[in-house]
Amino acid sequence: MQANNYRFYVSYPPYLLGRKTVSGIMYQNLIALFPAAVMALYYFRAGALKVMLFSVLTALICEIGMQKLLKRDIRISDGHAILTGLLFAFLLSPAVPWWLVVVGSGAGIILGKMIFGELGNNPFNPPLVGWVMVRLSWSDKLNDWVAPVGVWNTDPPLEIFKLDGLDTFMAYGYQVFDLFIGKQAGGMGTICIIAILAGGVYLLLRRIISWHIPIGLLGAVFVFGGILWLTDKQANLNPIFHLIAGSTMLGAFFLATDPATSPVTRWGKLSYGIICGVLIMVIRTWGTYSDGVAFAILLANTSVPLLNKIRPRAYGKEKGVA
Amino acid sequence: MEKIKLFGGRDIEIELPPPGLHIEEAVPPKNVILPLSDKGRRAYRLLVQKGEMVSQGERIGEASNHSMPPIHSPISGKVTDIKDVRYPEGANILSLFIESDGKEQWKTNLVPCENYMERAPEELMGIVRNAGVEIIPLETLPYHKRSASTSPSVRYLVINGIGHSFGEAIVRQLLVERSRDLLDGIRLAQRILQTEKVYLAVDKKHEDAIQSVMDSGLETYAEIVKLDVYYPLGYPNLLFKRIFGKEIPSPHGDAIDMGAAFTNVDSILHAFDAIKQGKPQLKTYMSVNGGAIQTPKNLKVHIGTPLKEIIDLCGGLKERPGRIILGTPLDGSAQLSLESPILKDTRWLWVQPEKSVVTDKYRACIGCGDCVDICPVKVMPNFLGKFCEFGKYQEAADQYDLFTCIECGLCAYVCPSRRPIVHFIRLGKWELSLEEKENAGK
Repeated sequence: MQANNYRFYVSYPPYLLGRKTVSGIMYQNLIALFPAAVMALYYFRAGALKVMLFSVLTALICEIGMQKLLKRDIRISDGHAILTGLLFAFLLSPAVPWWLVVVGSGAGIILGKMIFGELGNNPFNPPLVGWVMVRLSWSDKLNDWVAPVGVWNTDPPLEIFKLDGLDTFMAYGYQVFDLFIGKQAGGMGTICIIAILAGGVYLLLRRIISWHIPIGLLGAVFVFGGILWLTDKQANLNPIFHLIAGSTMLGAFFLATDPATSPVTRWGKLSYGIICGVLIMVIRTWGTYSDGVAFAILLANTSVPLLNKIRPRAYGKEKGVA
Repeated sequence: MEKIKLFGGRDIEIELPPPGLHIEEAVPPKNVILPLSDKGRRAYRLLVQKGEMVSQGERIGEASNHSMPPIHSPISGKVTDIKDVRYPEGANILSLFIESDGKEQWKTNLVPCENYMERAPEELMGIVRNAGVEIIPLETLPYHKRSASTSPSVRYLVINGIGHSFGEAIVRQLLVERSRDLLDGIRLAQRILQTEKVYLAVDKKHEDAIQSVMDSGLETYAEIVKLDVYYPLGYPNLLFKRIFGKEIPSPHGDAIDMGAAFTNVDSILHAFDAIKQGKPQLKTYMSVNGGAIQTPKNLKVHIGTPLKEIIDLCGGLKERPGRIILGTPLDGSAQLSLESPILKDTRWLWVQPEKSVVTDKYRACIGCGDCVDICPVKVMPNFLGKFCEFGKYQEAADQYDLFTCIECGLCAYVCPSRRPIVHFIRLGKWELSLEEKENAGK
């Protein structure tokens, strides 16, 4: 073949690019959420399907509408809207009215992401922005919990512990294994710990997330909870329950690890995870909310610009020189 | 496909030329193009006119203050044109077009330098410089305008036998084929630069090269450093740290301040050839490969040969080419056309097939932190990219070590948002250098 008459691409280096893309990250996250979604459908049947569909569709429509309105590139295919919608649905009870799902999911996309521009500029985790908005506005509707299939108790374990104290909680006789496989009331995607763990390990193995945030968060919850438990076993919960009840696991692997709203350096990520974990325990122990994961992560989001100042020493710089 | 290790433990798969390809002498080109400026440095003074006949090895351009080696005509023939040519980096550069008359005629008889080991270092240095070879950048050498006491001395000379640490077929083959000459070249360089010690860095996986170097008895003159190579270890800053265990102060430091200078295997060989044969450097060693090239080759080609002739020498293209790259796939420069010439420092021509060209649009940084993890000099490429994208060049330099960046390209390689981080960083450096020039003029 003669080398004449060709036109060439001229661009900046590098000319080889890695395989990881933004849409790849989002779709890998969706794959990782798949087991939890299946378990939500198993435990809550049609109710779960309805909420998930409403949430995802609203997120997609809001994103495309905002991108048209703001005259930005339509990037609906990158999967972030689907992920946001799904994560928002996971935090809800399957009994919430459809309009509440629409409002929350839309607020998550519009107020949580699109008004800041593109994905990456948003300071707060979009699904949590939506969740906090509906939680503060219609808390009675949001606390309308449903018992999953095979369970008679309609109250989430942490709610029982918060409102009725440790004795009542113990009287219910929660088994660690039961909580692990999801036999507890709560957000539809947060209850089945084993499914979420499987997804989280998958993300770790595919190097979509690094271990720093989940380990920092879970470690802080466990250590903080352990110290409280050891100081007063009559008033505090065994730290194991803090890990497997409520949305701690979902938060550790899927909400806190959102790249846009977490720090960039390894030490920053670890500190961020620890801050999240400590805030979760502070809210659970002394706050009014029984779960507190969403509020803790949103609060920790505000510390990200500061945590981004933690950074490795650049080559050739003396120590202590910023 | 071969795996190139990257900093931080990942690796990249790329087709490299098979090892052991003999270095072929290329046929003299029909015409050559010679740019009269050296990548951002000052331009050359032209010594010939349009229409003039030049002979092989005739000096056609020189720098007024001897800060650069002179240019010689690589072929004999007629100067057909002197005009601006567009190059990928920087703007238009005045270039000289020479058409061959096919005679390969030298202007005068070549005078090989005899008993070169007994000559004075200054004399040898003069020969090397006049031959157009730079062992180390000439500004750093003592010369008549600088006094020997103010110029930094080269105590350690590091010969980079790993190139840009991207496989580097040509350097490996040079070590295999010309290790005897390299030995003499090292002795010469030692005499010229008065060094205390010479290091030769080689890739520990290149067993044939190590074997050849050992057989030649080179280790009596130079310490052979066998390295576990990852990209971008070949950059002087990182190689310095690896060999000496210290870091070069950044951003304003230079290896020469620490008494170390870096050079390449081919520079040493060219210097040796210039002294032994008495002729200027007219050719350069390079390897040619890439998915679109029919037969990968190691070549010794005339400087200024158009890329088209090189590709024809390698059997042409076997599929549609996407990019023509001089340098490595992570930090080379994409050429505008096949009329572009081979330059003195060209070591690799890599032709990327069109099907492997990624043309995604880039988007906002999503803050994943992959670039921070992989950066070998530990700057924060995500912030550098953002600051430079929006024109905050000074902030990038003050707060985020813009000038510490070595532009290896790893950050942009791993970026899931496909951000051209290296491009932004180069833009920032360029804008700041313009500002500095303006302020200096006031």
